[in-house]
Amino acid sequence: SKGLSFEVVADCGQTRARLSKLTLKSLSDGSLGRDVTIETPMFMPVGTNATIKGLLPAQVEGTGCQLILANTYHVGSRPGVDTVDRAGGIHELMRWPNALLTDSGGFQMVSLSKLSEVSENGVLFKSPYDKDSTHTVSDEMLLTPEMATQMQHKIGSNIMMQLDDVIKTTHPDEQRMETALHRSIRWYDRCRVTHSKAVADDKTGRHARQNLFPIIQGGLNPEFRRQSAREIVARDPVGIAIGGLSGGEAKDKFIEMVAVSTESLPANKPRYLMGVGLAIDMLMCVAFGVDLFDCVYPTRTARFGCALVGYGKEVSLRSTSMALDFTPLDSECDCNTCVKYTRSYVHHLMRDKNTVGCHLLSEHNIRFQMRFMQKIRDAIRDGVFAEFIADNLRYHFGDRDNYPQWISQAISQLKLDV
Amino acid sequence: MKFMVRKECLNRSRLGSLLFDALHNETNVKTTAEYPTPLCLQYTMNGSVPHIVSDLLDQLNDDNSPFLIPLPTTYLMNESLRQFNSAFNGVKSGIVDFAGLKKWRPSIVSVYDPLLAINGGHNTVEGIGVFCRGGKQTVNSSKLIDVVTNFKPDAYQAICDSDTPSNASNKRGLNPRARTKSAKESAAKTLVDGFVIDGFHAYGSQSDTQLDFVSVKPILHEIMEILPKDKPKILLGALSPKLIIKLIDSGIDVFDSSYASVMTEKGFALQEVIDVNGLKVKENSLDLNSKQFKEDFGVIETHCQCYTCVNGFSRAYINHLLNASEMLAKVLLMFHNLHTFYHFFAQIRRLLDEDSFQQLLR
Ligand SMILES: [Zn+2]
Ligand SMILES: [Zn+2]
Repeated sequence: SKGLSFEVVADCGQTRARLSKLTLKSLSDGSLGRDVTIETPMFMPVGTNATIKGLLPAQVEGTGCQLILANTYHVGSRPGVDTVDRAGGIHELMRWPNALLTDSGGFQMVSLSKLSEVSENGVLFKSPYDKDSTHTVSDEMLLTPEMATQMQHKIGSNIMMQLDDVIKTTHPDEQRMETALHRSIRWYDRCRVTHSKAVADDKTGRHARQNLFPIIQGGLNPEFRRQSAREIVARDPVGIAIGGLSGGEAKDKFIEMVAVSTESLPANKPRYLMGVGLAIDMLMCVAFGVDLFDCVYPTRTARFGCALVGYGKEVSLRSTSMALDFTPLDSECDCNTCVKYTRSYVHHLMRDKNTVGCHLLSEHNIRFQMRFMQKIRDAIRDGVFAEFIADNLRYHFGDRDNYPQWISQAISQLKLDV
Repeated sequence: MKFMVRKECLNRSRLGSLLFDALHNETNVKTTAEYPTPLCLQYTMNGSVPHIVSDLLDQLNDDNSPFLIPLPTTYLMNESLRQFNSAFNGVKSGIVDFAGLKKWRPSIVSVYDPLLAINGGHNTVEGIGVFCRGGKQTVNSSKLIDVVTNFKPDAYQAICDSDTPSNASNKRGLNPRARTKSAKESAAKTLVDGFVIDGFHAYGSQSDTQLDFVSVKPILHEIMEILPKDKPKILLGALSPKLIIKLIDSGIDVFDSSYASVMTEKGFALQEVIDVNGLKVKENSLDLNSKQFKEDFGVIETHCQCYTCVNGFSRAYINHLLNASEMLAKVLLMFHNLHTFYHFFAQIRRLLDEDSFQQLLR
């Protein structure tokens, strides 16, 4: 691939975890864009509307983050993909020099729109935005795999997602689940055709540096998941996403599906688990071989006044007990917020709904995610990943007897003695 | 805080310097910071520049101006500050450290908040009403001294009864006799370092339209005659550049930056106020909420040196952020509006220095 290279640097040995280098090529020939090499496992903060909640690109970069996510559905609604295209792509529009990944928009359609109907051709949906807003996605619209790909071409993301047939994992109908899995493969093929055409027609070489990822589906059925993974691997994609999870299913089912999805994937391709961002969840999924994560959680919990500390506990800064707490949000943290501010001051800002309080917490929480992933990578590099898992489990649950069922299941499957 | 008049200009306008002694906490070196007047104080809310985290203060181009710390959004921090000071045992102390602001910037506490309108009738013999989160707090002089002890500002405003809507001309606000009496009494107080001229408007984002300069002018000039010339005159509020020019001509030395916040909250970008030749005052601004900017990929102002414009954030992007109610819109607008507002003050000082300030009044 012209736009992506991936190399495993170290294997955990005991688990499926690996430390890798992912390089994404800049799409722009201008001064803004740059090639980015990141180490994985890595977390991507979500910039839904082409902005990471209140933070400047320089502040996001300052947390150690060089890969973010934007939602095609939202950006397609406002300001519209044609506007983004005319701006010179999303990197130019939001002045983000590093790498960016977009989803296909399919998931948001199912979860946000007033109506969505899936047929073989695509997803029919109604925009949740009212008519007067400046969105360019019309009221009722059919999103086909071809269109989803073209929208991401216009947005200009480094990594694009195929349109997939997303159904809630808790959907009761196995038949529907199987249809979704096969339809998602057919849709991936249609996305690939559209992408190859665009690459062939594009003289600038821009689209050739965009990378299309397929998505493993199959709900909570292990056989469906295996089938989906097999079909996808046979098509030799540049990277692979695992979708349809983190939607309210039971935790033991969730981790089982992650394990099944990754078990027969080739080692030399990055694996991205969509919508997962809790520290303990990421940790266990890394153990099953996941490389990339995204979630709105760190920035959303910041807006609700929570700071992530330690190995991922939440501290509510709104609580009155914080008024006289003169320690940093997390004394281990090196972010700008923790270097300069006490919990007491952030408490006063949050109580008065001052946006500066949100900015301080968002910056800290993103830095928390970056530091946590760094610890995971260091542990893999140093050959102490199993010990790191043990530390985390003790931190969260204390005794082995207190481990939740899904954790016990995961560690026994990994044959870990922690 | 000390004040020096550097140059008397036409009418009552003048150039001066506000001087602050600063004891640097870490080095223990005493330095003097000098700020030229007419000066614009950096308005803060809860001890922070609105929308701007303190790491970005360096990017503001606000000449490191002293912070204005209004009490309504900080009074409830008093107890935290008292214990903060003892917890850090002098290594860190006062609101400037507590709010993570720079040590070497002076701070001035004001009783009212330029952006919060005063509700009439809440001052009693026990003290004045300061409106905080959750309601009114009555502040008398001993409570104010307590606040000052904990906040450790470089200067503070004494409590006053500003409980007068500016448009009620029968009341004391525009009553020349009461004003003159107040000015005479104030002038007699030799211990004060400056004078806050209060009561010509009721604060809040409407201050600009409330302050009727034509009716205020004669009273203001009478007051200026009475107050000692060698002390700075401060008039706070979200006042437009045109009004500020008139007030400078009437002898006001110090203002604050809250007008930039008012514009930001509306989604407006200020445009350069005084043209390059210093001949014309233009009070234009761009309403970036407007659809016309949807695909305007240029920066707010081509030659602007603010963070937003220098880094290439476009009108279209800010328009999109405003549309999507994204917080970054206010951050980007704040950089631009503050830069433009401080640039305006720098231009005024230059014009005063070159004896060409008066042409702005034509
Ligand atoms: Zn931190
Ligand atoms: Zn600017």
